[in-house]
Amino acid sequence: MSLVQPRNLNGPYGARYDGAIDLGALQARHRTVYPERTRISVDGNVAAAIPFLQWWRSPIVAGFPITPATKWLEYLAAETAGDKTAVQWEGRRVATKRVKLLESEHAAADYMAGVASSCRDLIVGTATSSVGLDHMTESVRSLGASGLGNVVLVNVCRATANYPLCIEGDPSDALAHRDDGFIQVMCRGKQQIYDTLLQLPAVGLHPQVLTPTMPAYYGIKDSHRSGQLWIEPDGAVNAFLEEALALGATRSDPRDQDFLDMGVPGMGGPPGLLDGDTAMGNCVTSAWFQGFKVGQKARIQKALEVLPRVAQLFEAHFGRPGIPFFETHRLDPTPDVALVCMGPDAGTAQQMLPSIEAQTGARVGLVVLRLLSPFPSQALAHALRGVGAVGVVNNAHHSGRGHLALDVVDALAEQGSAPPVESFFCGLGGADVSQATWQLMFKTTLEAARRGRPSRRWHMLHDGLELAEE
Amino acid sequence: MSVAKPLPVFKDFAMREDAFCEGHTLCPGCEEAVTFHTLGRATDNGRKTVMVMGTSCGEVSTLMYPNVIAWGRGTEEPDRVEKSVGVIHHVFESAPTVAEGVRDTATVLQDLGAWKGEAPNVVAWSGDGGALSIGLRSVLHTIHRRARIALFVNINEVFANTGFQYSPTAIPYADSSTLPNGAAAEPLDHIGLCLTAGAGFVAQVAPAFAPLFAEVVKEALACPTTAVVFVPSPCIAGWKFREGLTAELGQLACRTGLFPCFRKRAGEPGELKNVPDKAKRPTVDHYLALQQRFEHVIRMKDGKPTVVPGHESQVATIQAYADRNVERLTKWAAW
Amino acid sequence: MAPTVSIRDRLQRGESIDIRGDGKAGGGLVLAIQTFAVALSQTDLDVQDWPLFSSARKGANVRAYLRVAKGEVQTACLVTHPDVAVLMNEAAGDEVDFAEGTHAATYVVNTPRSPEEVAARYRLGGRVAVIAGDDLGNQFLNRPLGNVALFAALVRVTEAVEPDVARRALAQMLKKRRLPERIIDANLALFDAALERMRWAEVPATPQSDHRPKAFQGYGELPVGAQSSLRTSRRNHTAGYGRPGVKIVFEDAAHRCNGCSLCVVQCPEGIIQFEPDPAKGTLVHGANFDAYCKLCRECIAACPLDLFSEVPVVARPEHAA
Repeated sequence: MSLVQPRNLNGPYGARYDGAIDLGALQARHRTVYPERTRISVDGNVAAAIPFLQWWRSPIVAGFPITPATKWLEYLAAETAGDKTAVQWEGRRVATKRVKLLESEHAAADYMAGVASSCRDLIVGTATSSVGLDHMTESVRSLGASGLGNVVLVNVCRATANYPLCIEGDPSDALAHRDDGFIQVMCRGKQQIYDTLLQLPAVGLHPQVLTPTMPAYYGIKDSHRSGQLWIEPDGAVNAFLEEALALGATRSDPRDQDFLDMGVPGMGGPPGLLDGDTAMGNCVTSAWFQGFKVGQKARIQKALEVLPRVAQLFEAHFGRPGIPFFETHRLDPTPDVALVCMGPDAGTAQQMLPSIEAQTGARVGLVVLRLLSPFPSQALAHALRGVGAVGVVNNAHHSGRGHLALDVVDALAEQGSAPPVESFFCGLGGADVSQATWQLMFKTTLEAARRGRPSRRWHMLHDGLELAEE
Repeated sequence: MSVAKPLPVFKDFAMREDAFCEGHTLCPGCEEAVTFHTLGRATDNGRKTVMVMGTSCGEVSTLMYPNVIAWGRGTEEPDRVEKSVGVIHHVFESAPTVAEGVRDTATVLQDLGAWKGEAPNVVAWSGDGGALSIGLRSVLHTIHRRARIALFVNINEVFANTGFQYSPTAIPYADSSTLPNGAAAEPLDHIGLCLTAGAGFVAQVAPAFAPLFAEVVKEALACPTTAVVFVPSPCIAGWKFREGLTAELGQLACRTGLFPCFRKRAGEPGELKNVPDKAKRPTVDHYLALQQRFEHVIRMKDGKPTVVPGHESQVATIQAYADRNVERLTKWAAW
Repeated sequence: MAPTVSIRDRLQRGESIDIRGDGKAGGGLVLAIQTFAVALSQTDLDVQDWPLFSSARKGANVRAYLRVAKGEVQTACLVTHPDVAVLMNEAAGDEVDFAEGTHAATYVVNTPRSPEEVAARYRLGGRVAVIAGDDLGNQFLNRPLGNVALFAALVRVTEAVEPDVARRALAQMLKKRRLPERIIDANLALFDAALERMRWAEVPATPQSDHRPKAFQGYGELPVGAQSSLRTSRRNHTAGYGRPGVKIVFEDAAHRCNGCSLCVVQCPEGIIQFEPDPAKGTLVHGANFDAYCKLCRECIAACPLDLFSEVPVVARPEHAA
C-alpha cells in the first residue's frame, strides 16, 4: 500500500495524510449484494435503503425509527444482521456493513457528523421524517454549513408536529427545512427514489459544492406503496459513482492532482479528522460569519451546474435520465396553462392530461418539481415562458400563499413579464388528491388565464370542492 | 544492578509533546487549560488523536477562527499521522455522540484493513451543560452503548460560557444569574448516573491533585469501553474569588466531601481519595467563604468564615449534603 | 490653537455624539460606560450604550460604545469615528488602536502619565484628558480598579452632565450591585477625588494623529465550513491579560530545581521551559512569560522551592514628544 505521506496541499485546512486511510482496501472488502440487474417489487423506504448496501463507500448507517421512515432502518437492520454482510479478512469474519441505532434523531445526526468528519471519503446516511427532522434541526443546520458533502439525509415527508398529530405524508417538514443548507431533491415513485440516491453523493461531494444532500419522498403515498424497481448491479453503481466523483477533479486544481496521480479512489479536498491535522467547527465573530455564508451560498448554487453533469453521466451509464431540475409534461409546444406540483399525486395529473385537453379544448401542461434547494428559478421561468397562467399545487400548510407558490412567483417575476399565478392547497397531511381536485385546479387556472389574473389569493381544496372563504 | 524507578505518570506526561498550544483565551488560572495540556500530553502515546468538543468555554477559547486555534502537536505540522490531531466542535450536547461516530469509523476502517495504525485516542470534552443538562441524553446513551471513548466533563456548577447560569451540578445555595442565591435542591448524582448506565471507568479528580489526575487520564485513555472523568474546576470568573486560589479551592472541594476524588473501574472495588475521615474532615465553611457566590450565606470577616445571621440552616444544609455525598460515593465505590 | 468645541455645546446644538472605549475584560470599562449612560439619561438626552458582544474573558480585550443625542438615538451601526475615545487599560492600547477612526477628537485615558506623554505615545491630536485611575483605586478601594475615576474624567471633560447628577447616578449603580455601604462611600469619595485630579491638554492635530481606519476589502476566500489548520493561537500573545505593573519571573541561579514538574503540569498556558531528565523529571530554566503569561500565579503556588515570584515591572521608556 502507498506510503503515508503528509501533504499540506490544503494549506488553510491543515495537512492531509494521504494513504493513512487505504480506501482501496475498503473497496476490496465490499460484498456484492446485487451482482446483476434485477427487477423487484419494493416500497419507497426499501428503494432508498438499497444503495447504502451497494456502495462500498458506505460501511455505516445511522438510525432512529420514526413513522413513516422506520422501514428504511428495519430493512437495513435485517439485511445486515448477524453474518449477512461479513467477509473473511485476516483470519476472522468482519461485518462490512454496520447499522448504528441511536437513542434519538438528534443523536443520529450528531453521529453522522462524527463519521462524515472522520473520513470524508465515506458516505454516511440516515432516514427520518417530520418531528425527527425537527428534533435534529440544530445538527442538520450545522451540517448544512459544514462542507460535509458525504452526508445523505433521507427525508420521508410527513405532516409536521402536532395539534393535531398526523403521521401521514406531506412535504411540510422538508419545506420548513429548505434553508438548513442541504441540497433537497423531491422524488416520486420507487425508481426516482433509488436513482436519486445513486446520484446525489456525487453532487454533494463535488469540491466546489461540498454540501450534504437530502433526497425526499412523501410518506405513506410513496414510502408505504410498492412498485417495480430496476436495481443496477453493485459494480455498475460503484463504477458510476467513482466516475461521477471524478467529475470534480481537474488537473488544473492542485488539490486534485494527487488523487488522480495516485490512482487510489480518494478525493482531493479538505482532510478529515482521522487523516488530517485539522480543526472543524470553529467559532467566529460577526466580523467573519457573513463571509462564510457568502461561500456557502455560492457552493449550493454551484449544484445547479453540477447536477446536470452528474445526471448526464447517469444516463450514459444506465440508459435512463438522471435527476432533472423538474419533470415537464406537455410543455412543448407551449400550453395555455401549466400546473406546477410535486410528489406522487402528480402521477394522477400526468395521466389526466389528455382527457383534460379533450374536455376543455385547451392545451394543458404539468411541471413536477424535483430540485427544491437550490431552487432552479431560471430554468423554471424558461420552461413556463409564454404560458397563459400557472397553477401552483401546495401540499404543505403555509400561513400565506404557499412555499412553492412563492418560489414560482419569484422565478416568473425574475424573467420580466409574469403570467397570473393561482395558488392551490390540497393533499395536506396525506389527504387524497382526487381526479376531481385536479380537474378543478386545471379549470381554475384556465379561468385565470382568460381573466388575466387569479380569482383569489389561494384556494383550499378537497375532492373537487373549495374549502373556505379567504 | 539497580533498576531505575519509573517516573510517576504526571512527570512522564510532562516530557511528552503537547497537543494544546499557548495563545488560547481561557481566563487566567482556568483549570480547563490545565486539563487540556494534560490531555494534550497524555495523547502523545503513538496513537492518532481526535478531540471532540462540545460548546463550552473550552471551545470558544481554543477554536476561534482565525487566530485562536490552540490545538496541534508540536510546533509544526507532524510528518506522521500518529502525531497529528483532528479536532471537531459540532453542536452543544453532541460531543459524546460525535466521538462515538469517530470511534466507530476508525474501528470499521481498521476491521476492514483500511486503517493500518493503532486504534486512535478518541476524547470527548463537555462542560456541565453540554454533558449533564441538555447533554444528559447523549452521555448516558453513549455510555450505555459501551462506546470506546474517554469523556471528560468539566464541572464548575454553572453554565460558564454563556454567563454563569444555574447548572444541575450546583451545590445548594450557590448564587447564579438565573437562580439568584441558589436553591435548596441538591445536584445530580453524576457519578451514580454514569456508573448505572454502564461506564467502564468513572473518575472525579481536580487537576490540583496533579499526580492522581494524570493517572486517571492515562487509565481513561486505556479503557476499552466508556470512561467518564469529571473534572471539578473552580471558575474564577463565575465563582468570584481572588487570583491564585484555584488549586486551594480545588483541593478543599475534595477534602470537604463536596467533590471527592473518586476512581472506579466497573465491576471492581473503587476508592475515594483525599477525603479525611469525618473527624478530621474540614467543614465546608472556609471553602464557601472564599467565594463571592456564597456571600449571601457566609463570608470572610477578619480572615474567619462568618455565617450571615439568619442563614445558619443553609450552611448546615450544604454541610449535610457534603457528608451524605461522601457516604453515597463510598457506596458507589463498593458497588 | 482653537480649543476643541466642547461636547456639551455640540450636544446642545443637536449633534449626536459617539463614544467608544477599549479596555480589558474585568477592568471596569463596561461599567464606566454604563454609568455614564445612566448619568446622561438623567438629563434631556437620549442615550444608548452597549459592549461589543464577544466571548472575551477575564483579561481579553473588550470594547464598549455609547451614543447620545438630544431627541432620539436611532442609529444602530457601530461607532467607527468616535467623538470621544476612551482607553480604560493601557495594556489594551498595546493591542488595538483605541484612537482608530479619529483625527482630532476628545480622548480620555486611564494612566499615570501626563496628557502630553499620552498624546505622544498614542499619536493623538485634540483634547487629551488623563486620570491616574488605578492609583486612585488603590488609594480608595485597595484595588487598582480605575473605572470610577475614568467615569469622573468623562463627566468632567465632556461637561455633558452636572457632576452632582453624575455622582447620584454612580451611587444608584453601586446600590443596584448590592455593594455594602462603606464600599459605596469609598467609591463616591474616589469619584470626588478623580474630578479634582483629572488633567487635560489641547494638543495640535497632525497628519500622524489621523487614525483613518482601513476600508473593508472583502472577506477573501474563506475555508469551507470554517475548517482550519492548527496552532494559529501561537500568534495570539496573551501576556496583556494580566494586571499591569507586575510580572512573574523564574530565578534559579543555584540550579535548585529538582524536576518535581508541578509547575510544568499546572501552568495553564503551557509555557514553562525545561530540560527533560529521564531520572528526575522536568528541570526548569524559565518560561515564555513575555509572550503568554497571564499572571495566574499557579506556578508560584505550585513550586515547593519558591523559584517563581511576582515582581514590579519597570515603566516603559517614553517616545520622544
